[in-house]
Amino acid sequence: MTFCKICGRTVVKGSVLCQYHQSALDSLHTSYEAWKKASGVSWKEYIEKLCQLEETGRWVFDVAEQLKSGDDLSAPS
Amino acid sequence: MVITEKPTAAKRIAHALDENKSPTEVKKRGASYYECKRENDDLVVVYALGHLFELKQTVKGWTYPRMETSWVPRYEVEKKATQIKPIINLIKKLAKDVDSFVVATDYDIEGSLIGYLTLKHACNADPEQAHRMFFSTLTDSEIQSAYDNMAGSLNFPMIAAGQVRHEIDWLYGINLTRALTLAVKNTAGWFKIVSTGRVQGPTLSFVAEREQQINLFVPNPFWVIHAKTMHNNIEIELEYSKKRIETRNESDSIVGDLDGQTAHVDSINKKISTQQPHPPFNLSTLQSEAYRHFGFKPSRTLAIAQSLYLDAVISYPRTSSEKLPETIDLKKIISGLGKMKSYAGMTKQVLQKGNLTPVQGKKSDPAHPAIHPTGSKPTKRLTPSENKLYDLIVRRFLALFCEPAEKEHLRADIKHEEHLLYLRGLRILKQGWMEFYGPYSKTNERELPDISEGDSLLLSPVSDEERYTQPPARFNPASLLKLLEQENLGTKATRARIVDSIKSRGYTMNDRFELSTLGYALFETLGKYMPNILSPELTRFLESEMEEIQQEKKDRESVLTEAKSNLLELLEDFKSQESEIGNELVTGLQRYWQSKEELGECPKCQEGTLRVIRSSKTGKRFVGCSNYSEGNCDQTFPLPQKGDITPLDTVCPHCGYIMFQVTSGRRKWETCINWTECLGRKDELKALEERRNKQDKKTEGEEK
Repeated sequence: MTFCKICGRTVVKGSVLCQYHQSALDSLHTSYEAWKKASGVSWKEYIEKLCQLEETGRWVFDVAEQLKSGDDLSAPS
Repeated sequence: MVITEKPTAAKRIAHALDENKSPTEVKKRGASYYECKRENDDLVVVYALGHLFELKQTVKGWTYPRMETSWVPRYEVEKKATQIKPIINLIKKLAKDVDSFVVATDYDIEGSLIGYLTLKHACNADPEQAHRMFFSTLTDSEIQSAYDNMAGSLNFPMIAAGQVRHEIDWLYGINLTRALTLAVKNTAGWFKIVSTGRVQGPTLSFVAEREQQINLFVPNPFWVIHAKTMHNNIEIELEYSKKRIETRNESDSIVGDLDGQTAHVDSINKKISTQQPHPPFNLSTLQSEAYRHFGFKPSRTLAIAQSLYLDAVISYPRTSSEKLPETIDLKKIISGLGKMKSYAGMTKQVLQKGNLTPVQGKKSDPAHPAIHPTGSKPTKRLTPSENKLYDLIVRRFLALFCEPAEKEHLRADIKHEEHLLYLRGLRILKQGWMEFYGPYSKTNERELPDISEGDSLLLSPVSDEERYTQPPARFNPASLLKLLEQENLGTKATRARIVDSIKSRGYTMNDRFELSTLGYALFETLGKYMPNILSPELTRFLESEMEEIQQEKKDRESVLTEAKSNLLELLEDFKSQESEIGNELVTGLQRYWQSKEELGECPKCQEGTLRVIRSSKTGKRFVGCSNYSEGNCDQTFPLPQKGDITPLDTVCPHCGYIMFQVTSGRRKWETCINWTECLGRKDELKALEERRNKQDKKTEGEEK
């Protein structure tokens, strides 16, 4: 696949996402540690919460929605 | 011949210079000039309309690179500039009988260049022989003094700096815009102007980088503690000493420790602080304050300030200075203001105190002092916007002569075991300058309740609230302008226009500079293929070169030659990647149009896409199905004919049809494409009908 699963932009090497959505996915993973420490939420609860918050950035929201719907965002091996 | 910059300035200058204060306006074929007499001099005062001459390429063809230019009358470049021709013709004719020329345009880079070009190309005169008047206000006394003490020559380094700024801006703006536009045309066959420029590129980059930070933002949770207590039957809200609690566990434990417990007032601390008046306004602080208090865009503030300057009620607004030099007769200005009812009380107080040493700021400008009132009464009735800005300037000016404000900050420390809570109070002990600047400098005073050290307080209820960190704020016109100033990009005269252009080109949406898909496409493409255009470094380097011309450290020719050679290299690089650049821009444009014009799947055929269409017969817009042209679907919906339409991702809660937003002036509202039939929107429709009828009656009344 050469186009981002979410927005149709060209994907970055080794990913199914464009540079923006890949960065959002990376931020999402990094921030989970802080959330887990702060409130002990599970990954699923965390993703659901991010989908509800209006502070969540657009690209982060797109990725969270995708994950919520059970979509696999890891690159095909 | 006295050459001025605008008709209003010409009228003022002629009036100030004429011995009898009644110059004659002579009108000739769509233009005019003033005749006046001052001692032995018979004067003709003529005016330009901003720039009368503009740059034009000498080699024909809408292509790039185009490096050679010449100055031509503005009407040859701008079709709409029809008023320019009679003015140039009149100046040309009058100049034949003139023995001496005086430039009395604004004393800044643009004004100096306007005077120089008018002399050279309209008067056919030798600029080396011309004289120069310097003034910062258009009051009679300053104009007369500027005429009596005029300089024997023009400021040629300033003119050269102005000339090279126009030349470099033209070279970068025209060539890069054509390169981008032609890349799109050669790829998809569409002609859509895609512009960028020397300062516009970095400005777009600032907006795009902020947008990226916002889009990538992951909010983090934190907790705040709310604690209340009753004292003398009054409910008091206390502030927990740690503003943000990082974990839920810690927050829960604080609430558990404090709720229903008794705390005691450990100490009450007082601190007195003084606050000096704000320094006098320069253009950027005026623009920022006007946006904060009145919501004026920087370009609007500049236009209003310019109008106040032309009415001689404030000094020249395009200044960086925050200083009022000793040469200004402050007492005269304050006495003048005292003749106006609104300021009589304040001026009386200032004059009574006798201390006329104003507070000064740090920034200076060799050409003009800080913005200040002249003390002259307006000759016309000021518009509400002019009144607001004038009041802001006058109050800021009068506040400069006042004493500092004195504030008492009180803080009661309330303790329970290891937990510390605060109760704060703020009292203004002495208003000082805030008394004059009051409407624009509000302080919320908070009385500290009547408590004493050792008092016991029952903490109840104590609770916590989960909150989330906030993304960085988007730019507003004032904050973007401030950033350009901090980064030394553009000039005080051009920044407001550049900020506006980012929006008018469709690169951003809404008042808060939200990047559009088109803005993203341009930013991404330039970032990938021509990062120099987005970098502030290149334009900052060119700015410093221009400054060095003004300081006579460099000459215009060498700076221009270097700029052309760098640009040629850039354009060659562009040409070699034109098809890749074109492809990316075309994709971005498609996405942009899609976001502006597509309203989702057609509810009737469920195959086509609903689009905003404009009827070629009536010119009216409506929503239609993309399958219409194939004869497969005739679904249409009416659209409001006024305002900008933005499709939304939501559906109508009443009928389930897709929603869109209409922005008309400052009014914004959301409705669904089925708005004329939707049962949930009957009231909206009725209100619209009423508004229309009202408007029709008003128009009828005006026509009668």
